[in-house]
Amino acid sequence: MEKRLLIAGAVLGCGLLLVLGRLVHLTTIHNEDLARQASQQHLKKMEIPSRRGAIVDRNGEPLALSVPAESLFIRPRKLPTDANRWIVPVATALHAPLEQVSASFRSAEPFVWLKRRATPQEAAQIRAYGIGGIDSIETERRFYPQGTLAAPLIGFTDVDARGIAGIEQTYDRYLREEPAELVGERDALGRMILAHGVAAAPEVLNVRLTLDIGIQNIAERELAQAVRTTGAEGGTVVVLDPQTFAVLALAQVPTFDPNTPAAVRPEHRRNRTAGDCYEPGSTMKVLLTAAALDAKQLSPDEKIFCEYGRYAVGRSVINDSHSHGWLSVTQVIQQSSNIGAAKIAEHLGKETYAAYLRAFGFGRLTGIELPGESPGILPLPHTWGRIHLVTASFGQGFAVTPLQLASAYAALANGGTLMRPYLISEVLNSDGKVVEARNPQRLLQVVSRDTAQLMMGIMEQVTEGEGTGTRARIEGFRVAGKTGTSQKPDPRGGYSARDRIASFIGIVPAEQPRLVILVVVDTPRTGVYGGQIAAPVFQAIAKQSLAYLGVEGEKPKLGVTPAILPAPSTESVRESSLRQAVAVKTPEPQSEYGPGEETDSDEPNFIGMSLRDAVLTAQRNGWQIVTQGSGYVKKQTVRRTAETFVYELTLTSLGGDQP
Amino acid sequence: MFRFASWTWYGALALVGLTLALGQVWIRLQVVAVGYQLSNTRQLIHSLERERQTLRMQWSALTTPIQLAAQAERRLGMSAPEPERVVRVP
Repeated sequence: MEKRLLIAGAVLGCGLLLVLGRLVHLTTIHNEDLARQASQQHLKKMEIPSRRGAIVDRNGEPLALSVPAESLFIRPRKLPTDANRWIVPVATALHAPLEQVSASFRSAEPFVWLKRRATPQEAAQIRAYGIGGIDSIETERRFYPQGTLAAPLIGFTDVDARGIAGIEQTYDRYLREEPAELVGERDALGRMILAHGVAAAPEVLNVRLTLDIGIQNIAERELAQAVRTTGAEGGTVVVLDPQTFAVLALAQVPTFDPNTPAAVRPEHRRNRTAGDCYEPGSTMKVLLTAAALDAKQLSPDEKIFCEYGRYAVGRSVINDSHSHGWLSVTQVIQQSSNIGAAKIAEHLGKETYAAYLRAFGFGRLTGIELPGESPGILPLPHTWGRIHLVTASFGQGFAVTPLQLASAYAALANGGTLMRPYLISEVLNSDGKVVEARNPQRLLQVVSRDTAQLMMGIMEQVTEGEGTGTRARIEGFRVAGKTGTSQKPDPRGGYSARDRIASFIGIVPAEQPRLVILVVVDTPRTGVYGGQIAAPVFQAIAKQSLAYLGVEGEKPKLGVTPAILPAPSTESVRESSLRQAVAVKTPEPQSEYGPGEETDSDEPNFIGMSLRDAVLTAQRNGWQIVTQGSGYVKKQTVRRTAETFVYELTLTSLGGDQP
Repeated sequence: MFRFASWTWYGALALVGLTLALGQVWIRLQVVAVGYQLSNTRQLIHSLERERQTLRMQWSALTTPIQLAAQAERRLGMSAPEPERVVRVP
């Protein structure tokens, strides 16, 4: 009995040893392979689709966003036998061509895209059909909420959300987040169990531009209207802040909608403000004169003989649109004399002129954050003959980009200092914290501060009196600027007899520049001159942009009632002002009045006035007021300061009833 | 006495072992339950995020300057003021 027990124990012991041995073998020798195999069976990897950051303007208004989308695909071999009856409904739901959907259904491939980046509504409709063999994966598509606004500079992305134009391309490395993976266990139903936790999602970066969509909208609207009314082929507008060289607007016509970039020809998608160059015409006379004054080759009060409108240079003849005799330097610019400019250039010399042009930034890239920037065309001075120097004096024979020209003028507005124009202000993380900031970058002092100031004064004369740019004048503001009219090269050689480029570049307010605005109208048909075609566009853009920015011009003269003021009448206000102007000297400090209460008969009474009327009344009489709230004045308090009395007005809230 | 003590020890050890094993199972069940919760929460966050993106898109499309200007002109009869009509509040 004991022997049998021993044998059974030995057999069981051996069996147990074998099991233990196998256990040790599995857990120590092949453990990694086995662990991997086990993981493959119960762990599930899920790809988190890559996201793309937003592009916003300087005020945070979105210009490019990523929105949810789904990519639908078919596994044709898993389609039901009666799948053909679904072809028409699917094509209708996806707004896709019937032939394309039909081909997808009949494909011999195991996997076919049905529609990439379908909208959630489209995907929901397909799901509602419940067709086996059709499935979807979550993805994102790019959406440009502002439509055509600033489209050529924002650019667009391809179907895989990679930036292929504009800022989308230049800042792709910041905007595009790499796809990530999420690992978890899966249960018998294939559901995910995140038993190993969730890793933090990669950070999505957003890009803030210096662009202001308010100004951009004004520029695009006015340019489009000008191109339409003049029958021009196109146009561009550049708006720069001359203190920082931040780009506030880059507008162009024609343009496109980046939501549907394939709907237009590729040339309409090109960024013309930095990528295209043109012969700038008379706008160069200002830079030529600045160079001559800075190089001490010319004095501001020097007189130049303008040959009565006809000047022979070798076998060529230079003409002025109006004949002039002796003109001062200011008059050469003001009346845009080609002959005067030619003589200044001859006096300055080609080497010096070319050196200044290069210093102003022509013939090289500005470094703006846009793909495909052109350096322009600036031939080396040793290749220039006398006629080249003369034509270069009035901006023919070399080419610049609109952005280069605007930067050069911004340098004059900035006391002669050239800076790098820039479009990207900050790169932000998803919490809005700044990851990378771009600051204004000073490049060089092109001309002295005195020369720059002198040129600003000369340019102001262009919009005054007999100047060529009087249509750029803005009531209440001093405007410095220059008109330009240039001939267009003929593809067959030489210059076109008919086609012109009309331009105007202006700086406003001249005494404390806030904006540099360049308007270029390509081949207008209702006129050719910059002062006639482009200057009014400048005026419209500048006037609205200054109001938008809250830049105040000279205040309206006292006693002039703005047209909108409904009450009180001008006469009654004047009468009461005269009466109150005496009384204002003697109010009781800290006197306080509410609705229905009469003020001291000698005190001004603001009670019941609208905010607008109260402000206008105070402005006319030179009274100081402090307001709180909006709507109508319900309480006024007089406070004495060291110099004067201040009326503190408390108003009803906006939309409140008139007391 | 010695035999009784040994069995007591063995019993205690077995009890501890059983408790640990049950504890392990309980913890594992909790991990799975939390894993499900985490998965559901992640799904909820994801769907809310997508909804937020959609709403942001709609909001930004409706508040573009072009859209607002058109609405202001058409529905309210507004227009951009001339500079001289602008009054600045001190």
